[in-house]
Amino acid sequence: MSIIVRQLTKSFDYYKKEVGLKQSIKNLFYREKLVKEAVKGISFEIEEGEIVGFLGPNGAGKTTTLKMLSGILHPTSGEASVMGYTPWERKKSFKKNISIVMGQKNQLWWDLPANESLYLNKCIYEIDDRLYYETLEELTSILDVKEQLKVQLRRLSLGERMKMELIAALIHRPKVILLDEPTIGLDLVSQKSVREFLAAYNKDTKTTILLTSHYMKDIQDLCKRTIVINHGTIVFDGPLSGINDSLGRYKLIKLRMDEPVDQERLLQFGRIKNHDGMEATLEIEADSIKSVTRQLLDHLPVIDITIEEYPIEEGIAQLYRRMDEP
Amino acid sequence: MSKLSPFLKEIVKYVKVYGLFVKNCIIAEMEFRTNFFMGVAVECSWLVSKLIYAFVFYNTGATVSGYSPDAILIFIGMHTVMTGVLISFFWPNFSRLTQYVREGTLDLFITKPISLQFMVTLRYFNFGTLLPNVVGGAAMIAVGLYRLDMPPSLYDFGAFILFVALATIVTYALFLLPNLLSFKIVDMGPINQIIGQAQEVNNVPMIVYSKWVQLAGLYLLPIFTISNAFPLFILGRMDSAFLVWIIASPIILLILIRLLWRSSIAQYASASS
Amino acid sequence: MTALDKYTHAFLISFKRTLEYRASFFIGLVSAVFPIMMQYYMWTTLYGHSESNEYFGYSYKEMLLYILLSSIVALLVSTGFEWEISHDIKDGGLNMFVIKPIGYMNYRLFCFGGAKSMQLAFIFIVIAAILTIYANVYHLTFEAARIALFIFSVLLSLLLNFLVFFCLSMTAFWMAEVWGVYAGFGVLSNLLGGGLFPIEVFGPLVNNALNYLPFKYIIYFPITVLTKTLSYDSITAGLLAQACWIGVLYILSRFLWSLGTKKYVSIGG
Repeated sequence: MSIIVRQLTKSFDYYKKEVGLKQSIKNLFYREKLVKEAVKGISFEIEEGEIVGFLGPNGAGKTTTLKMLSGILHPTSGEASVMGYTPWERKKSFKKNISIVMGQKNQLWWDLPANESLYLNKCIYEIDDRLYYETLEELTSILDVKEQLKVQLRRLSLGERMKMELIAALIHRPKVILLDEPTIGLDLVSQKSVREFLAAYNKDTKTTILLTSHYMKDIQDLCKRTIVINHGTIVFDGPLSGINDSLGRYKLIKLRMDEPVDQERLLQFGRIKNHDGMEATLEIEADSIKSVTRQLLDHLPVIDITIEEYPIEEGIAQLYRRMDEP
Repeated sequence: MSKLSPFLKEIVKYVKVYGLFVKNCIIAEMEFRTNFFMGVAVECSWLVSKLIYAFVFYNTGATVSGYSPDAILIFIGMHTVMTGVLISFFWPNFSRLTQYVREGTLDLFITKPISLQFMVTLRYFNFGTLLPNVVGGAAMIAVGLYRLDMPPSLYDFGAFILFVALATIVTYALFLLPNLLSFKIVDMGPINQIIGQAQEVNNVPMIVYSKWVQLAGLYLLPIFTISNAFPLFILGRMDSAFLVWIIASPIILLILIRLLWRSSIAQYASASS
Repeated sequence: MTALDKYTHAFLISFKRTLEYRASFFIGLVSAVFPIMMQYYMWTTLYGHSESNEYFGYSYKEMLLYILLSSIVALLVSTGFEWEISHDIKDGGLNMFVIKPIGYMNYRLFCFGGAKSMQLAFIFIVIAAILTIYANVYHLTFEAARIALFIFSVLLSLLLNFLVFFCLSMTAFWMAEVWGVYAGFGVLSNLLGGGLFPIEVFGPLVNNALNYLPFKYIIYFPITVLTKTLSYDSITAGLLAQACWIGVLYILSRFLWSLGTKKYVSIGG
C-alpha cells in the first residue's frame, strides 16, 4: 500500500477582520478567533502504481490534503503513511522518493537554462551520474525538449516550462508524485501532451500519481479512480464511471431565440436554470435529450441550440447534496 | 565517494550545492551587464559615503581614545568589508523570505531533501556588490596599517580571514533574526528600513559610543563585534577575555538562530493555509 | 473637469494614500534615530566635551543642532515619485499625458505636494520639539523671523528637490534600467546636499564646486538659516539662489521632457 490516510484533519485559526475605522481600532485590542476546518477527518488508501484524481471546487481541501501528504503541513489530527513514512516528519529518504508539482509555481530558476537547474536537483537529490544522465535522456526524448535544455527558462513558452518542471519533478525517479493543478493555464495542446506523458510514465514506471484538478478532462484521461472532496470531506471515492452516471443523468440545453419567450412556455420542457429574455438554459434528463430537443425546435423560435455536459462543480454540489439526503 | 563517512558526505554535498548556487548566480548576474555595472557603481557611491567619515576624522586630526585617524580608518575599512558580506551573501536571501511565504515557493523548498534554512538563506549571491566593498574595505585597512608603520604580515592576513569568518557568522545570525518576522508580517518594508539604518552604527569605531551603548552592542546584540573585533586585535588592544567572547558569540548566536528558525518553520507548517 | 480640478484630485488622492501608509513614514522617522545617535556620539567624542573647540567652523552646539536637523530635513525633502515616473515611461502609463507637457509635471507636483503636506505637519512638530529642547538645554533663543525664513526656505527646498529628481527621472526615457542611477544619485545628492555632514567638512575645493550646484540649497542652506548667525543679507542671497536654481531646473526639466517624449512617441509609447 503506497498511501494510507486515516482521519486526517486540518484546521486553521484565523482572525475575523472587520471593515471600518471603529472596528480597526477595536481590532487592536480584541480579535475574534475563528477556526476554518479545511480537511475534516478524511480516510483513503492508494495502491502503488495507481493514478488517483482529486476533484473538487475551490477551497474544498484538495491542496491542503496534498500539502499534508508531501510533508509541507502538519495535520491537526489523524494519520498518514506515504511509502511507509509519516510525511510531516520530513525524513530525508522520504523526500528523496517523493515529488510535488504545484500549478504555476516554478521550482526551476528563472534566469538559468533548465539543464543548470536540473543539475542542481541532481546534487540536492544525490543522484548518481549515470542514472541522472539516463533519466534526463529518457525524459527529454519523450517530452521532446532536448533542444530547450540549454535555453533560459524565461525564454521558453508556458508549455515548455511545464515540461521542464515535470522533468525536474521526475529526475530523481520518485515513487510517488503529487500534482496540484498541473495543467492550469496551459493551452489545450500542452494540456494533452502533459496528460499523455503522465499516463505513459505511470504505465512504464508504476509510479503512484495523485493529482488535483479543476479540469474534468485531466481526470477523465488519466484517472481510473477519483476522490471527490467538498468542504473538507470525501463525497465520492471510486471509478470515474460512478460520477459520470450521477452527473450524466442530466444535460444542459442552451437556447437562443429570436423573440422573448416567457417562463411558462419553457417550463413544460424541463427545469429552467437560466432565463434572460431571449436566452435560456434548461436542465434536461440525458435519456430524453433527443425527444426534448425535437420538441424545442418545433415549438419555440430557436435560432441557436447547444447541448452541454453538466458543469462539474454543480455536479459535485449535487453529489454532495444527495449524500446528505436520507 | 562511498568510502567517506555519511557526515563528511553531507558536508561535501552542501559545499557542492553552495558552489552551484554561487556559480549560477554569477552567470545570471553577468547576463545583464548594464545592471551589473550599475550595481558596482551604486556600491562605489556608498563607498564614497563611508570614506567621508574617514575624511572627517582625518580633517579634525583628533585622536579618539588613543586611536589616530589612521587607526580609525581600519575600523571603517572592516565595516566596509562586512557590509559587503552582508549585502552580497545574505541580504538578497533574507529580503526574499517574505516573497517565498506569500507566493508559496517556501512550500516547494520544504519538500527538498536539503536543509530548508540552507536553501532559503543562502540560495542567492550578489557578486557585483561584493567586489567594491571588499576591495575598498581591504584597501582602507591596508592603508591604515601601512601609515601606522605596521605593514600586514601573512599572520595578520590569516587573522583577518579568521575574524571575517567569525564576523560573517554573527552578521548572518543578527540580520536573519528580524527577518524571521517575515513569517508573520506581510509588509517587511518598515522593518527593513530600520535594519538598514541600524547597520550603519558600525560606520564609526565603537569606542566613540558611551559605555552603556558599547556594552549593549557587544553583549546584548553583538553588532559591534562585527566590525570592531579585527581592528582591536590587529592594533593590539584586545585582551584574552574579550577574545574568548569574540570566538564564543558566533557559536552561541548560530545555535540560537537555528532554534528560532526551526520554531518559525514549525509554526508556519501548522498555521499556513 | 478643468485641469485644476484634476490636479486637486491628484493632490487629495496622494494625501490620502500617504495617510494610509503613515506607518512607513513614522518608521522612517524612528529609524532616523540611528544615524542621529551615531553622529551624536561621534561628534561628542571628537569635540571632547570642550566647548571652545571648533571644527569646520562649527562649535559643538552648532554641530549638534546641525546633525539633529539634517536627518529630519533630509527625510522631509525626500522623493519617491521617480520610481513611479520610470514605471509610467516603461509601462506606457505616460500615454495620456504626452500631449500636454506641462500636464504631467504639474500632476507629479501636485501628487508630491499631497504626500508631503501630510508629512510636513509632523516633521515641523518634530523640528519644533528639537528646537525647544535644544533652546532650553543651551539657553538659546531662536528668533521668530529666522524660524519663518527657515520654513520658507524649506518649502523652496521641497520644490527644488522635486525638480532635481524630476529631471533625473527623465533618464528613464533613454535608459533600460534606472534603479542604479536613482540609487547612486540619491546617495550622492544627499551627501553633497549636507544630509550627512555639513558641507564644510568636504574642504574648500569641494565647497567651491558646490557653489555652482543646486545640492547645497536643498538641505544645507535651510538649516544654516536657523543654526548659523547668517546676516539677513546672506539669507536673502541664499533664498534668491534657491529661486534661481528652481528656475534653471524648471527650464532643464521642460527641455528634457520634450526630448524624452519625442523619443517616447516615436517608439510608440
